[in-house]
Amino acid sequence: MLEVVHLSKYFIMRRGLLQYLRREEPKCIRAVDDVSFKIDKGEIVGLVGESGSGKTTLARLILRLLEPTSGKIFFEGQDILSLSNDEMKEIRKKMQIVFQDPYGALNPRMTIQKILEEPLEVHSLYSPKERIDIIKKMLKSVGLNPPELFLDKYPHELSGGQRQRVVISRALILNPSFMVMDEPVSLLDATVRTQILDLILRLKEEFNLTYLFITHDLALARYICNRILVMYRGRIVEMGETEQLISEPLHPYTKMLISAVPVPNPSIKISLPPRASEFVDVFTYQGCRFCARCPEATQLCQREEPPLISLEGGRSVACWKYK
Amino acid sequence: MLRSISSSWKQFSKSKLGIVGLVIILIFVFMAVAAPILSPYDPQASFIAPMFTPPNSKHLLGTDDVGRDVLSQIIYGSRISIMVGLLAAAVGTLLGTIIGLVSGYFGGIVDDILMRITDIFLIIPFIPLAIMFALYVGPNIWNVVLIFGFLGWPPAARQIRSLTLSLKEAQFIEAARAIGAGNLRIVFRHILPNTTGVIIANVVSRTVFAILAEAGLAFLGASDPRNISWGMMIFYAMRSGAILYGAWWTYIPAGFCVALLACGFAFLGHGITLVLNPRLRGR
Repeated sequence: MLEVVHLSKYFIMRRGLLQYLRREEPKCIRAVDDVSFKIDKGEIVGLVGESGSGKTTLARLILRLLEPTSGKIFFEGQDILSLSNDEMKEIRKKMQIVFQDPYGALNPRMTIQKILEEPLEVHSLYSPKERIDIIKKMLKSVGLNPPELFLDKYPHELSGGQRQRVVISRALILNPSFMVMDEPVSLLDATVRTQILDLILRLKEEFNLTYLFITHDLALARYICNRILVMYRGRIVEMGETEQLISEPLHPYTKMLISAVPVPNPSIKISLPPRASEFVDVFTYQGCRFCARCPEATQLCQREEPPLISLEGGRSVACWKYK
Repeated sequence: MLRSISSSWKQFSKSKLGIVGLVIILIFVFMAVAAPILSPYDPQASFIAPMFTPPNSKHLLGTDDVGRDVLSQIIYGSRISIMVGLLAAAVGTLLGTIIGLVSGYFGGIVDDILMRITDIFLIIPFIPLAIMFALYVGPNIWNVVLIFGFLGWPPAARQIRSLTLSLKEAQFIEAARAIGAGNLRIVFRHILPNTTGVIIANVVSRTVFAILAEAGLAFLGASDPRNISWGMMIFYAMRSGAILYGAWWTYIPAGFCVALLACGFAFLGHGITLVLNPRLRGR
């Protein structure tokens, strides 16, 4: 369904006048660096990593909200980076995104009805009358009942959970087949969180969806994902089936992430691996990026960057230990 | 919409200054609209009484150097001040809004060019430039409105641009793009409605400026001589030696009205800021 091939996005920093005169090389941040993976139809693929690892940038690249520096994205066999604006508009019906922040994702000046009508209007689907019916049906299926109560409301009159439901219904209203969930529950209360998660899982069955589920919460990813991709500073460091990846993590970073998940049992002591420093110079790209924080780093790691190595069982890891 | 208007009004009504401003403006607007009924004489009719007649029961504010009734002129003059003030502010803000939106949204070289032009307009002293234009295109009242409008866009452009810069990074804009919305739709449906606060504030502050500037321009003799305006009255008073003569009634009321109307809009602006900026509330 979705295939990403050697996708990269570098953000080049502007040079100041002095740096320009000194002919310094412009610094650049490799937010997404040579990322390749595949998502099959019906899957829920988790994308896990700490903040700043490039998860959201990757999501925006896939939806072509940002133009990549290099690489290719195939959606249902079509190379979407080569499409014109009009062709892209058609594809947008099929791939949608749900954002992290339900407060920022809705235009404060529009009523819920206007917000949900917009996708239909943009693609000139249905008559104005039919649109209202579709909007009502959609509100019902995301659990905003009765829909009439919400049509004329503004986003600030709704709770966080209700807004996230509106965001989800806006993404769903064009009947997409693929959705990026960009940390859809990380800003919600614990009680609302499970409700929204259940909704997301239910909708997947109901609408036959495929998800790329971005989260920094490994426990959450374990709960809902079939496969997990672990990202660190713009690179995928490990991917594999959820259970396998969590029960026997290969990459030191994955191990670190898993050991950081709190266990609801006070008698078990968490032992975090010793870490050198969280501060890493983000502008140098020599060697393995995790090397400065890695307890098992060798000289090779400091010199050369490990490629993503495929192992048996559909697993891949980017670490010299497995070469 | 109705609900938001009524809640805005509730906020606004808490500001005494805002209410005072609104009352002042309404009085002047009433004066302008009902000028033919209110004014006791034809403002242009000369020598209905001897020149420089001091205020008396027949001419409440006396007469000027050609024996015209000052009160009637004051009443008719409110038309020019209010019209020029509001129209110039509207033209300026409209231009500024468009330029600010384009500049902020598209960025890059477009932004650079537009903002450098804005800089140029900002550093040129306003009144001399306005006089020069007025003399060049002919000082009729519509030209004055256009000149003020065309010279008055930079502050609005700056403010709208900076707001647009922050709005275009908002997630709901990204959501709109993910839906497939085009640039036009994003700018007019999503960004513009979120700038209304700044636009209203701008109209009000530019109105104050235009009222004062029109009076200034008229005082310097570069406004339409066929229309009576308050600035024009002071100009005639100066030229005819009313000050030497001691005929204070020919220029004090006009000056007072200019100041009062400008204050009215400034106060109104204060009240509106209170509505638009929740952080200032309750202070």
